[in-house]
Formats: sequence, C-alpha cells, structure tokens
Amino acid sequence: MAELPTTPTDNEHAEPADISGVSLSWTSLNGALETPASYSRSLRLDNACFILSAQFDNKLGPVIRHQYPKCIPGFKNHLCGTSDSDESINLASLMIPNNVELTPGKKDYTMFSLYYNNNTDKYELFKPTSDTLNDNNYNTIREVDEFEDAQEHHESNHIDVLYILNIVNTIIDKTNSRGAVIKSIALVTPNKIGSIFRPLLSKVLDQYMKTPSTESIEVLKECFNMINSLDLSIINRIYSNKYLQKILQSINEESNFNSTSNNLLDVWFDEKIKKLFKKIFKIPYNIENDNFGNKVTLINNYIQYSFTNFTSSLLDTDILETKLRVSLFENELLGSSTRFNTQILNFLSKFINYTSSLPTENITWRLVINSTLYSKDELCHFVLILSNILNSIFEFGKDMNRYYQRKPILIFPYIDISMIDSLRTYSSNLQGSKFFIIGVANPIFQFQQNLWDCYYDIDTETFYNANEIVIKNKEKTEYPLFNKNLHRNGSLSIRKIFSKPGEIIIKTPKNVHSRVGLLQKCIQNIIAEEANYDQGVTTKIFKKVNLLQLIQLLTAGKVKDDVSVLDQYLCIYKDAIIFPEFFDYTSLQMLKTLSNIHNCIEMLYQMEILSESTSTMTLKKLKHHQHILFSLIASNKNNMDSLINILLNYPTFKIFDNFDLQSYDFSNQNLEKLFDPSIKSSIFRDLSDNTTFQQQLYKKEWINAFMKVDGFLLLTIPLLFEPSCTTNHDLFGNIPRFFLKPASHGLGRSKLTRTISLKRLFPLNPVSSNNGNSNFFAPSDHSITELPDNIRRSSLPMNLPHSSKSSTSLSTQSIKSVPETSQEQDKVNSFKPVIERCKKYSIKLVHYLLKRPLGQILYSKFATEQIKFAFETSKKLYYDNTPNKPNDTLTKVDASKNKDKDKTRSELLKEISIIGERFKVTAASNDTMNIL
Amino acid sequence: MGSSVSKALGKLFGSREMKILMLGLDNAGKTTILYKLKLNKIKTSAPTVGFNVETVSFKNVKFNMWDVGGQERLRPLWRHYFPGTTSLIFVIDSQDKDRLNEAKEELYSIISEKEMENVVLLVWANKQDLKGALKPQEISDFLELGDNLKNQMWCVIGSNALAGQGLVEGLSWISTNTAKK
Repeated sequence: MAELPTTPTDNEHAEPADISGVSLSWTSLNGALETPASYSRSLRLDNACFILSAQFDNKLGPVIRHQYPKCIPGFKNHLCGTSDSDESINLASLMIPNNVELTPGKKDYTMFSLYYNNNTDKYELFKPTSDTLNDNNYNTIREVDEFEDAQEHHESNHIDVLYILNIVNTIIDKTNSRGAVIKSIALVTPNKIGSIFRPLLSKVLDQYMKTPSTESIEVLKECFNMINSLDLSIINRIYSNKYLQKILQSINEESNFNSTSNNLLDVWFDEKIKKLFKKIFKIPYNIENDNFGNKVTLINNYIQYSFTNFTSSLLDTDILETKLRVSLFENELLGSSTRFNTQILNFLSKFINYTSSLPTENITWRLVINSTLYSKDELCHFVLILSNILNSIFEFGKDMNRYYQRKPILIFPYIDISMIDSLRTYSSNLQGSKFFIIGVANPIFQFQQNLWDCYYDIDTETFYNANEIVIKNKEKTEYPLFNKNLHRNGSLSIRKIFSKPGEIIIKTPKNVHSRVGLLQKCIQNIIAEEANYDQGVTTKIFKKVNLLQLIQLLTAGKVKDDVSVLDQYLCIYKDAIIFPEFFDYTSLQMLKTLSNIHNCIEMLYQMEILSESTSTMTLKKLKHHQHILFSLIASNKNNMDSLINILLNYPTFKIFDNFDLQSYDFSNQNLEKLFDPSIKSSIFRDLSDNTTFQQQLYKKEWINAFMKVDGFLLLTIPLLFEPSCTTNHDLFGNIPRFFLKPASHGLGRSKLTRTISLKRLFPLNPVSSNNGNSNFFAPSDHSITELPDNIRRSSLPMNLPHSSKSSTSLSTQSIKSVPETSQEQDKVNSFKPVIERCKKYSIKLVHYLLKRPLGQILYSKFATEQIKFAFETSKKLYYDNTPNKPNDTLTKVDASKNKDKDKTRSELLKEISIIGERFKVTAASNDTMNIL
Repeated sequence: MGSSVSKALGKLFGSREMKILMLGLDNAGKTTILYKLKLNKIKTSAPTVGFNVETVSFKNVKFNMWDVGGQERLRPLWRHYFPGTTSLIFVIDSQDKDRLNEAKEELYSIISEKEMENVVLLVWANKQDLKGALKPQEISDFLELGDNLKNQMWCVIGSNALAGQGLVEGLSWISTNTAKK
C-alpha cells in the first residue's frame, strides 16, 4: 500500500484533486464554477452530491483525502499540520471514528447530516436555528442575482440537508510504518434513503483501499457516476406518501404479530393483484426499468435495482453487479431493529421516568448515549431508532407541531470528542428548551457534564441524571487551552498534592416514588416478560397508549384552545413518545368522533336494558357522530387515509376509562388482570373472528388486547342493528354475546331460562374450528316467546355457509322480529327511523372505505363474515332493492353492482336452498336436544 | 507480571481508584504500555484512533488508564480528557531525538492547564531498549522539570514497554505519591 504523500508545508488550500496527483477541476467538469447556493439546489436531483474519502494519517490523525467533485462548501480541506484552518477536521473525525483500529478487516459505518446555512452559504454540522444564527448575519441582505426569480430565491433560503453515509475499514499492512491502513469513503446525498447504497459503498471501499493513492480518486469518480446512474424516483414516490407509509407501518406491525394468519402484505404483492399495487402506490404497473433504463424488479415488498445502464472499465465486476434492495416500507430503512428492541425498552423505561420528573414549565433534555462495545453502525442505529421514537414529531411535519418546531431536536448518531466545543457553543446559543439525542463512543463524555442532562451507557444500561450528580471539584467548568507562565511559587504544597483535582459524585437517588404512567407500565411489563417481542409489537402498544391518553385528554374537556393539543399532551403525560400523525386537526376530530361512536355503541350494548328515551337519545347521538365522521371523510379524499390509520390503531377496550391516565399510578396494577376476559365483556370481543380470538398468539392477554385491530368495527357495528327492536338489547340481537355462550363463563348463563334449549340459542358449533370457516349468526324471522327479555326478540341464530357471496343473497326483509303489542310497536316506530339512519351512515362509511384500494384490502381482512353479510344486505335494502331509491344515494356504488346482479340472483336461489337444508338440520338437532 | 507485582503492592495501599491520563506524541508507545500492563502482551497493530481506556488493577488500587492518540490533530483534544485526572503519564520516545523538543512543548502545554496543576506527573522515557535512546536522566535534564515544576510532584522513569521494564515502578511511584481516598 502506498504511503500517503508527505504533509504539505505551505498553508495554501490544496484542491482535493491536487492531493491525489490527478488533475481534476470542478470548473473543467462543469463548464463554470457554480455558486454554492445554486450548486446546492442543482444537486437535489442527484443521488450523490459528493463522494468523500478520509484516512488516518500516522502523523496528523484523521484527514479528508478527497472530496469529489469539489469541496463541500464549508468543509475545505488541506493537509497542513495544524487543524485550525482546516474546515474539514470534524468531517474527518466523523469519518474515521474512534477505536476503528481495534477491529481490522471489519467494516463499520457512521451516519450524520450537514445543514445548509443561508447566511453563510455553507454547510454546517449543526442545524442553524433562529437561536444559533448570528443576528447581524441574519439581517444581512443577501445579494441576489437580478435574474434569479422569486421562486429560486425562496428556495435558496431553505436549509438543505445532506445525509452522509460513511464506511470505514482498517487493514493490517506490514509495509506501513504503523502496521495498518485506516481509510473510509462517504456518500453525501440529499436523499434520505441514501443508506440503500451501503452494499455498493462497501465493495467500492474494498477496491479503493487496494488501489494506489495516485489512482484512488478515479475509483471515487466512477462510484459517484454509478450511484447517479440510478433513478430512485419510484421509491421516492412511494416514500413520499407519508400517510400511506404510516398505514403500511401499522399493517406491518399487525402482520408481523399475527404471523400465523396470512400476512396481509404478502397478499398485496401477490402476482395476481399487482394492479392493486399500482393503485395503492400510484406507480406504473409494469415496473421493469427506472427512468434511466436500469432494471427494476418487484420482489414481494421490495424493489430491487440493478445498475444495468452503467458500465465502467475501472470498477470491479462485483461492484457493477451490485443489486440494491429497497423495502417499500420506509420504517424498514434502518434494517432489522428487532435486536435493539430490548435495549431500547430498557432505555425508555428509565428515560420516561426521567422525563416525567421534569417540571412542566421546563421540559428539556439533552441526551447523550454512549457505547464502546457496540460498533458505530449499531450505535448509530440505536440512536436513529430512538430518534424515530422520540422525534417523530420533528420528522413528520413542520406545520402541526409548534412545540418542537421551535425547538428542533438535534440528532447526531455519532460524534467524537473533536466536536465538543462546537456542540457546547451550539448548546449555549440555544435558548429555552433543548432537545438533543447524541451518540458517542467515548466514556469521557460522561465527564463533560455541562453538555448533557441525561447520559445513558448502553453497555451497562446505566442512566445518569445530571440533576443527581454533583461535581465536588469547584472548578468543574471547562477551561480553554492557553499557555501560561510556568513560574510557580516554589513551595510544595502538601495539601495541593493530595487533593484530587476533580471528583464526580453521583448522589444516591432519593427514595422518592415517582408515578408509573400507562406507557411506562406497558414497557415494564414487556421487559419483565422477556418474550422478545419485536419492534412492531412495542410500536403498536405505544400507539394505542398514545391514543388512549389522547382520547382521555380530548374527552375530558381540558383541552385549551390557545395551546396545541400536542403541547398539552406532552406537558401532561411527559412520555416523550408520541405519534404526530394522530395530532393533526382532522385526525383529532376523527379520533374524538370515533370515541363518541364507541361510547354510544358500548352504552347501547351494555347488559342493562336502557329506558326508551335513553336508547333513543344514544342512537341519535350515534347517528350524529356518524354524520360528523362521514362529513370529515367526504370533505377531503385524503382524510380517509387518516381514518384508516386511526382505525388500525384505535384501542377498543374501555378498561382504562376507569383510570385517570393523567395522574393514576399504575405501579401496583396488574395489566394482565385488567384484561382478564372474565372481567369485561365487549362488543368487539363478541364480534371478533372466533378463530383468531380463540387462538391467542401470545400468552399474555394484555398483549393480545393491545395488538388486536378491531377499530374498523366502529364503522360497521350499526349494520348489525335490528331495525325492529324495542330495547337496546334487541338492537344487538344478531350478535352472539360472548358471556352468554354455553362454553363460556357463567356470567351470562344465569340469565338464560333453564327451559330453553341452548342449541336453539346457539349453533352446535358456535366457534369455528381451525379450518378457518367462521360461523356467524344470521338473523331469522323466528320469534321465540319463551326466551328471556334480553334475547327474546333477538333473531334465532343459525349457521350459514362460510361464503360471503352466499350471505349476500339473504334479504334483510326477513330480519324482523315481530312486535307483540301495540306498545312495542310504538317503540319500534320510535327506534326504527334513527336505526335506519345509523345503518345508512355505516353503509356510506364502508362505501367510502371500499373506494380506496387499501380500504378494500383492509375491509376484507378486518370485517367479519357477519359484518360483510350485513353490509351487503343492508346496502341492497336501502340503496338497491327498493323501487324508489332514497335520496341519500351512494355514489358509484351501483356501477359494479348491476354487473353482478344476475350472478347474485343465481346465488340467492342456491343459498336459499342451503339455508333450507340448514333449518332441517337445526330442527333435527333441537329435537334431539329436547329428547335428551 | 502486573498481577504478581500487584499482589506485592496491594498490601501497601488501601482500596483506591484513580484516573490516569497517558499522553505523548504519536508512536511514543502509549498503547503498548497500556496493554503490557493490562494483558502482559504486546498489542500494537495500528495507531490509536481516539483513545483506549483500561482498568489496571493492583491489589486494592484501580488505575483507570486513559491512553489518548498523539497525532498532531488529536493533541488539541487532550484537554477534554483532563477533568478528574489524578495523575498524568507522559510517554516519550527516547530514541526520537528529533521530536524531543516537540514533546517538551506538548508536555508543558498540558501541565500549564489549570485543571492539571494538581496532578502528579510521571514521565516514561520509553524505548530504552533501542540503540541510541537517551537515558532517563538525559530526558529529565532536557525537560527541565526541576526548574519549572515547583508545585508538582514529578518523576522520570526509563521504560521498555516490550519487556515491561519500568512500568510497575512507574505505577508504584504514582500510588505512593497520590492521596488515599
């Protein structure tokens, strides 16, 4: 391996290309030297803006070797001896991370970002904020080219972010005076998904390290060109739909959890329904090439790119044949994070304890995370995963979160000690609250206590709170390095010699019990169970806790108009984990409305029979909230995406209604007992697909409850209402109550009259077997006078074929129980109009859901057969079969319907015959039962 | 070697823990010394990028030894390691006469820092095994510590990291001349 050139003696800036001895000039390559601002804008379409290389110089330390095609504005480098005038010193330190020499042959990665400063037209390592910008500079009027249009000027004032993916390796080299060569290359990209180039960079680094220094720049040039030969517009488009990505993430969490059932996402990418893929992602169906002609292949939920349109005589064949696989789910970009789940949870458990102790008026945390055992790649992943959890606010949008928008979180996956001064300056310039998440691989940061509020050592899982640490030494502050006279007083002070210069004492935390909130309780439970749940499970639980707490905040009437809900949430719960997609205005409206719908349904579903007026009023409220929900989704097409995402995460259990989540201490509560099925009944439980309900996937009931996706039932439960009911119990006559099932707990059984044949009340096999055939209860026109009041006028349950198609043939005209008295008839007349309105709103809501390709898939998965049947029959009843259609027609709903009319009729006849057969079987069974 | 000596020394001292900062120019032998003390092995395959930290235990005494890279651009970062330091070990390549003055400047730059004014200073005149290496006394004379350090305890000890000579003596001197907790 060729040794590095000797250190230049002059102090002039050396162009990177000159260093390597290869003539290269940005001007010659591009015709004219562009200004930094325009250059930064022009780079946006490229995958690679710059390629850098760095090396550990045996005499100097870390140095930047090459910057191609030119120096990054703000990071000019030259290999002079002192670092003062070298702007690239920090870059080099980040590219050659600490202790990389300890693992020769094992590549490591670091990641960081650069931020464009409009005032200086340079990039910086720390994001400029109004606090950190110098006022004088800020007010300086920038010279704007008179031909520059207003739009361009506007753009140039935006801060561009460059993402840097760096890969470093150490190779033992006996010819080197120090025995090893340490080099790295870095991709500088404006694309957040630049990490997909990891495998390519890894191979390029191998070749770069083998290539003599005089020629190595050529390898970088070819790498630069190769990366830019790829068109990533497809995947960028897929990732740009933030709501879709949130939905996919929610589905993915459920699918991973529910691994025994068909993975919903696998179905999506089935060859047969690729058209759906096109619709969902709004991309061309026949994906074969990108816009530059490179081969693109869709493999399950990945897009694979090949560099088929790039040739090079310099790069190794292995490099040219690299294939890049990109997940369609943006949250998987960080790779497998499951291995960190336990570590993340351990941290969060301690961190939430810390944040909850912070005073509301001063929520601030500068968090430093240290590890010397993990690789820098793992450390960066840990920090980024944590940042995604703690900082999704910042990530998601600028408009919706005033709280963090003013105070962006500083995220640095890895910094080294060379950046301490810069960080300290940046921190001191920030006013008010500060939010840092910084990864370090040097325990000396623990001694830099004015840099952090909390310090976490991943290796030992130790959390340090700055408030609990006292530095005994009176001179704990940092002193600048300066030379002083060495003249001393000449006397040997014994006291001075024996005094310790600096001693850090960690105060024993006072034995003060702090409240354990719901989120912390969940985290503690997950950790205690040692079940190695993946990140999808924990994220789903976090979301549900987020929604539970948010619902309680919204419905408690404590929301102040002048403060954003997000601010209030953070101040009240102090969990530091939120999902900002739930906090935009529309989502909040929907959430509140869904909660009201939920309350109405639960109110009506309770065991107690409500008075007529209460029932009517509740039904009217339900109708009102359905109307609001429908208005929200009808007003904006995109609102359906918000609704879908909420429904995928909506917590349908009401267990926590009894707790004030803002103040309750869950430390002594047993979540498992809270979710004991014998304690609570629920319409959602009763409506659950019996198969999945019986086959609980996890041993813990509470985990199953949190993972369950049944929010969609909120839209559809009114479809099951019995229009001719006289009480709230009759309203749900079509729903088999879990607690009334013979095989179930005795709670409901006592309500049954002994003389009633259970087999007449319930099917012989009420719970389907593992064959996946979900039995369900369909309405009947049989009235059974000997039944108790609560179920007397319910329809007689019967088994129907599994096929949903066959279900559709049943006419809802038969779904009537017959009122016995005029008084009951009056009640029916009172209930019926509002019930029908509720059903119609449900039909509309489902209809809108089904208009979306995503909605179709989710509906097919999450709606039970009973719901689907009810929807079809109700739709036909109210919008199809009536001679005079109602005024509130469904848009476009009839289009496909007419085509299937003939088919439906034939199926109708077939099913009627099947039902007839079933009745015979049921009757025979009943006779047998009575004899017994 | 370290453990046997520690047994002998352990009884002399109470249970203590101290932070020792080991600095010096690049290629002076700091990392070799560290791992000779820690593992009794020679582990020098690459220059130190950043730092190494190891706990070297003698009976009842824990030396948290920080070895920081000595390359030119890393030297301004040394000061970040100063807080909490009990003792400074400055390692000099006794054979590298061309850079003795550079080493001297760096040493004085360190001990002139306010945070370091109370630490005890041990200078290891390393690589005594090499031909032409200056003797500890010569190094001491060159550094003029006696003239300039009136308030600090200091000592220059010759060492050969490969063989381990002088290392235990150095730690012993530090232990003897630092306060017990």
